[in-house]
Amino acid sequence: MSILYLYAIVDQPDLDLPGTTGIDDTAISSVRVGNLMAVISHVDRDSVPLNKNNLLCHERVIEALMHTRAVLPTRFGTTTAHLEQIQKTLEVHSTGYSANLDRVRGRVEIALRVGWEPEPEEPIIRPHAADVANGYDYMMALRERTQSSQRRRNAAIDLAAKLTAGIVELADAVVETILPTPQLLLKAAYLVQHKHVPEIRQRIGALRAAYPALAILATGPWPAYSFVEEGVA
Amino acid sequence: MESTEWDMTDVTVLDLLDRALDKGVVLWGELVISIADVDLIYVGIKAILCSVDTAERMREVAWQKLVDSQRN
Amino acid sequence: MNIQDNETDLSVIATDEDNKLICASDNLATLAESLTTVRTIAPNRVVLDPDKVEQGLAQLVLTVIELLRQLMERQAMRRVESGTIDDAAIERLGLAFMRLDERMAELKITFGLRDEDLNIDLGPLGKLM
Repeated sequence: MSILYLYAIVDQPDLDLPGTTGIDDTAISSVRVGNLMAVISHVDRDSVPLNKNNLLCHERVIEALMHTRAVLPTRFGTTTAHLEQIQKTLEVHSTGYSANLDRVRGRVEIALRVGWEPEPEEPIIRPHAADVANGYDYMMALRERTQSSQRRRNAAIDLAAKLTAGIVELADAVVETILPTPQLLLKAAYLVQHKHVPEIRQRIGALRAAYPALAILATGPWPAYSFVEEGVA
Repeated sequence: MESTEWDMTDVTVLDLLDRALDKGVVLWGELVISIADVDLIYVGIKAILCSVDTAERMREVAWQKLVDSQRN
Repeated sequence: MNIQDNETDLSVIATDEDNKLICASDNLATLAESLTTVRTIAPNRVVLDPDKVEQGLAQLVLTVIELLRQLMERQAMRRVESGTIDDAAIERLGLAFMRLDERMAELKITFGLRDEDLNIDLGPLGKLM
């Protein structure tokens, strides 16, 4: 059975599509509705399995598109058997997609993750019924845990703000989560105009020396995956 | 799933994986739940959760190799 | 085709994944978990093993209970902090939460579930536990 695999939503329908091939080396084509296009290819399968090759294929098509136009990358694995479904969604969400395309035009995503070792105290865990003598003690233990968590969170927020001040000022938009897990101080994505990328790279590189105790991983530039705003109402 | 050689560059692939699976435009948030190959439930939801899947195994293998290579 | 507009010239994008690494410090082990979190499904199919249906459903139910438990705990904490309830009421609340904790522990054992199995990712809210 053959399905349609979706890579991205773009505008400027009169611009040529790049020659890059997609999943399973299929040619890319488009479905056009008004000023918007969904970039697709016809894949001879029931579904597209997740593996390194397909993931990189997906990414390669999107990046090839980015050489000449604004792109809203779709989530990996977006497929449908029905062309009408694509047309319908382009129609229904056309205003939103157009606005999002304007938002990301000429911009890329820079990703940052910063890990830390929380203070070498005992990890903050929930009290267990077996560990306490009575209900009152349980509530007090719960309260202590809540307060410790709050203190740690506040420390994290302050540190993250210090760390990223120089990066945030170069970004048009930021998506960040403080302490998504106890070991991860910060997970963030920055929407940055491409002309600022060299400067951002330098500032991030400087963080390593400035914060030797923190684990820092920065990658990019990526398509603006984190800044597309979901298409489903 | 094809096995491939993993090396230091794969931390960026893992980052891409996380990004491309969790972000990007969600055109339709449908979830089909099937038991024994019989499609039972067709649900329109935005956030989709799953337990161990190819993605999890793929990431674990890649990560382990990365950590092992850093120890040497 | 006219690509004079600077805004759309993104040739800084490399399709070679080698160039995507901006900065990586030596001690990346602490970041391991964030890169191995599974939060979405690909493709859009949940296939329930017929032999494990009960466990899958128990996992769903217990995750919801855990979420509710945390919401209730937060509410209770606010009351305790506000000083508007007396010690006897705190004792009763504590006992109720203790009973819930014990019951959940039993259910987890019955269905062979660990804490990690209930630790769903709530996106911007972080993980459940």
